[in-house]
Amino acid sequence: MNNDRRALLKTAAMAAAGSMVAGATLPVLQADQAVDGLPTGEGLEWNKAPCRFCGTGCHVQVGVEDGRVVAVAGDKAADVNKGLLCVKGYHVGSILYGKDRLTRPLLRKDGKLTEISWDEAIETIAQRIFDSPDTFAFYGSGQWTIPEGYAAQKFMKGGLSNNHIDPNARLCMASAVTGFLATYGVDEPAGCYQDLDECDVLITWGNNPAEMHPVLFSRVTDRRSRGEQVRIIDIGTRRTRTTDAANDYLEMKPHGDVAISLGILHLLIENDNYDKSFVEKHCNFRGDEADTPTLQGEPISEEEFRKRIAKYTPEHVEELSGVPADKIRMLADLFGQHDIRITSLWCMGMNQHTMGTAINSLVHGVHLLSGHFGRPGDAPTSLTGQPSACGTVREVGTLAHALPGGRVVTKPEHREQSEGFWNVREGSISEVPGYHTVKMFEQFTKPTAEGGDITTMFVQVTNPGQTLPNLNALFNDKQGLEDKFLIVSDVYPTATTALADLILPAAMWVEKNGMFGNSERRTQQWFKMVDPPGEARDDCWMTIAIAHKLFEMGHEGMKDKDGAFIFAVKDDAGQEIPVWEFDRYYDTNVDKHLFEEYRQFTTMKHKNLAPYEEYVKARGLRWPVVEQEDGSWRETRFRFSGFDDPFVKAGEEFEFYHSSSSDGRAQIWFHEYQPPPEMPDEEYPMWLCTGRVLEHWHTGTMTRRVSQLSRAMPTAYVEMHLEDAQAANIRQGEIVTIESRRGVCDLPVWIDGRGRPPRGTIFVPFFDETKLINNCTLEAYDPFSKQPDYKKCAARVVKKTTAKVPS
Amino acid sequence: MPISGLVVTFASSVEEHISAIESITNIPEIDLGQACGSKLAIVVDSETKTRDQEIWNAVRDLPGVIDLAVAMVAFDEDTEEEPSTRN
Repeated sequence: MNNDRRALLKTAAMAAAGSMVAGATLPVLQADQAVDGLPTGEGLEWNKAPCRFCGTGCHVQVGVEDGRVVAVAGDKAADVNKGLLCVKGYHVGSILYGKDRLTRPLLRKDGKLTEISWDEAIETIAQRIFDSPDTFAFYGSGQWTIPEGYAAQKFMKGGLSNNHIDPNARLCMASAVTGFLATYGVDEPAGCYQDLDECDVLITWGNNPAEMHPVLFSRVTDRRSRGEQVRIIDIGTRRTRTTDAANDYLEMKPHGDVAISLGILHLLIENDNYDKSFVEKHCNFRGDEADTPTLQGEPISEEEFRKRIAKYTPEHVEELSGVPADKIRMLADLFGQHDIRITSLWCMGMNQHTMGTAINSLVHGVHLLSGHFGRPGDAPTSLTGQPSACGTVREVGTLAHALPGGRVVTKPEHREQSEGFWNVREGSISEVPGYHTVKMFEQFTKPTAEGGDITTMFVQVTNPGQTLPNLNALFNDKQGLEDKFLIVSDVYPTATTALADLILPAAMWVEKNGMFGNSERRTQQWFKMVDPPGEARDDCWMTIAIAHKLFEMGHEGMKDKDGAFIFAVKDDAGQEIPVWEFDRYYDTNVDKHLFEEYRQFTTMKHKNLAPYEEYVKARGLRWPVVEQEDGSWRETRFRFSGFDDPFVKAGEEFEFYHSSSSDGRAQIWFHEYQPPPEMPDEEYPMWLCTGRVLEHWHTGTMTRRVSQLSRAMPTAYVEMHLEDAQAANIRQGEIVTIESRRGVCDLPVWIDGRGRPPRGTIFVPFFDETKLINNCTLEAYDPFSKQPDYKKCAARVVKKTTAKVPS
Repeated sequence: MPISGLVVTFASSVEEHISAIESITNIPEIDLGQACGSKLAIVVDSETKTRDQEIWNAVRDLPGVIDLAVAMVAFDEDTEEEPSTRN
C-alpha cells in the first residue's frame, strides 16, 4: 500500500468511525448517500453487498482496486447495522483470498484427484443424472443465493420430476419454520429488528446473540449505554457472553425450555392474568391429535387447555427444568404485565431439539396468550444462522416437500400453479415429498443392494461432512461404496470434499451476483465486483450448464411445454443468450431473469417481493413489499398488525390471514413435555451440547482461512465445569477423548473459559474440521421438522494427554 | 498491514472510563477520534495482522468496554492469507 493511499484510507477510517459515534441515535441515510465519506480515487470503487456470514444481514461497502477487494466498511445506509460490523464482518473481504482456493474441477480417478476440464465435469454429472434421474439428490444451503436456490429447485422439481432436494438449513432452523406454520399458518417472524430497539425485556431462549449475532445484540447494549432500561433474561444450559450482559440468568436442564414455557402458560391461566381480549378476538387453542399428530393438530377448548396445562405448576416445572419455581413465577408475572414490551429471541438452541416444533409453538403461545404480540417491542422472533436461510430455503422453498412461495408438492393445485409458472408439462412435479436431510444421507451411505436408493449426490455451498450429526453413520460410511458418486462444489477443500468423487471450484460472495434474505424478511441484492480465481465459477451457472447438457442429451424434462430450454434467457431482440456457456453467462443478468420469474410465486402467501431494480437501489426491503399509488414500493415491518401490514383488513387491529383454522386466528398450542431422546446414564454420564463461537462461522471453511480469526480461536475445545474436571483428575489444557455411543473426538479441556457449563455438562464448538464433534452427536430428530437434536446427548470424558488450550 | 476505524462502546459515558482511555492511549498504533456519550472512535494502523489482533483483543478486554465494532477496514496488500491448519 503506498503512503498516499495509506494516509487517505486512514483518514477515511477515522471519518467512518467518527460518524458512527456522532449523536446518540445513528441516522439511517438514503442509499445513494452511503458512500459519502469513503475515499475514492483512481481505480478505487465502492459498492454495496450484504455480509457473507450470519443471518443478521449487515450491509457492507466493498472497496475494490485493481480487481481485488482491498477494504470493507460498515454501510451507513443500512438500517440493519447502521454502519457497524462485527469481528467476522471486519474480515469478510479476506475470505476470498485464502491460499488454498479451489481453482480447477477435480475428478477422483483410481483414488487420486485429477484436474479435468469444465466440459468433462458437466458431462460427467449430466450423464450420471441422465442414466438414473430418480436416484439423484441435490443438497444445498441457506448460503445459496435466492437465484441459485430457485434454479436448483426448478431444475429438480420442474425439470427432473425429482423432489430429493434439501438444504443444510434443515439442520439449523427447520423447527422454527414448523413452529411458525403451526401457529400462524405461514412461516417467518411477524416482527423485525426494530423490536430490539423498543422492547423493555429481552428474553434469550437457549440463545447467545452476543457471539452469534453480535451486531443485533449491540443494538440492545447500545440502548443501555444511552441510559435506557432494557432487562435481559438469559435462559440457557450454560453461561455465555450473553449471560454476562443479562440481568437474570435461568439455568435450565436440557429440554427444560419446554417445561418453562408450559409453566408460564400455566400461571397466566391459573392467575387469570392473560390477555383475554386478544385471545378471544385473535386466537384458538390447539392440541396434538391422539393417534397420529400433525402440524395442523386438533382444536381444543379453552377449558380443555386449562385442564391439560394444570399439572405444569411452578414446582413441577422446577423438577423438569431445574429452574427454581420463583423464577418461573417471575417470568409469568412479566408476561402478565401488558404495559411493558417483551421480545423473545431464539436460534439453534430451540430449533435443534427433538421437541423443536413444540417448543417453538409454545413460545409463540406464551406471547399470544399474554398479548405480547404485534406492537413494536412485543415479538416472538427466531434468528437464522445463515445469510439466506429465510430468503432461499424458506421463501424459495428448497426443501424436500416444498415449492416456491409457500407451496407444497402434496397439493395438486400448488403443483399446477408451479407448473404454470415454469411452463412445464402438466404432471411434471411429483406429488411425493423427497428425502429430508437425515434420510437423504442415510440413503446415500447405505449400499445400493441394501436399499440405498440415492446413488449420486450434488452438494453445493455447504459442508455436510462436518455438519451432519452422527457423521460415522450419515457421511463417513460413504467411503468404499463404489457405485455412490459425490459431487461437491465449494471454494476451499473441506471435510466434505475429502470424500468427493468430483470437486467443482466455486465463485463466492462478490465474485458473483447475488441476493440473500435475512432473518427479518429483508431481501438484499448485490452485483459481482471481482473475478473468481482460476476457473472457479458460479453455482447457479453450474446448475444451468448441467440442465442444458441434459437438454442436449434429449432429457424431456429440460424442455418446457413449447420445447424450449427451461432456463432459456432471451435478449431484447428475442435471441436466446447461451448462458450455459460460462464466457456468455454475464452477457445478461441471470439473477434478474430468475428473480423476476420467482417473484410470481411470492404473492401466493402474501410474501410479495418488489421488482429486482428496487433491490438494486435499496439496502434490502422487508416483505411483503407492495406498490403504492405513486409507483413506489413500500416494505412491511410488522406483519399481521393493522397499523403496518397492508394485507390486514381495513379497521382490524390484527389479522392472521393465513390462519390454519381459516378464521383469521393464530393457534395457542398445548404440547406435553417429553424427555430428551437420550439421557446421561452410568456408562455415559455427561450431557454433550454443541454450538458455535464468535470468531468462526459455522464449519470454519472461510473464517479459518483468515489468520486473525484463526489465531484468535485456533482449535476446538471442550468446556468443562471445574468440579467435573477435578473429579476426573483432568487439568486445564489436557487432551481428553469425548465418547458417545456413536463415535469419539479428542479435544483439549477449557475450564472456566468463555462458556461455563454447569456440572454434568460439556460443550464443544463444531467449527474445527480437525476435531469433528459430530462423530459423537445424535441424529434423532423432531417428528415434524425433521431437524436433528445437536444440543443434548449422552457422552463421557476420558483423560488422555496434555496439550494447550486457546487463551 | 490493516488500517481500521473502530467504535468502542463503554458501559457508560466515555468520561467515566479514564483508565481504559489511558490504556488505549498507550497503544502507539491507535489514534483517538471523536467521542460522544458512551462511544469512542479510534483508528488502528498496525504493521502486522498479528499486532492488529493483539490490539483488537486488548481493547475489547479493557474494563468497561462492552462492544467493539468496525466502521471500516482496509487490508489492501495484506489479503494473502495463510492456509488453514486443516488436517
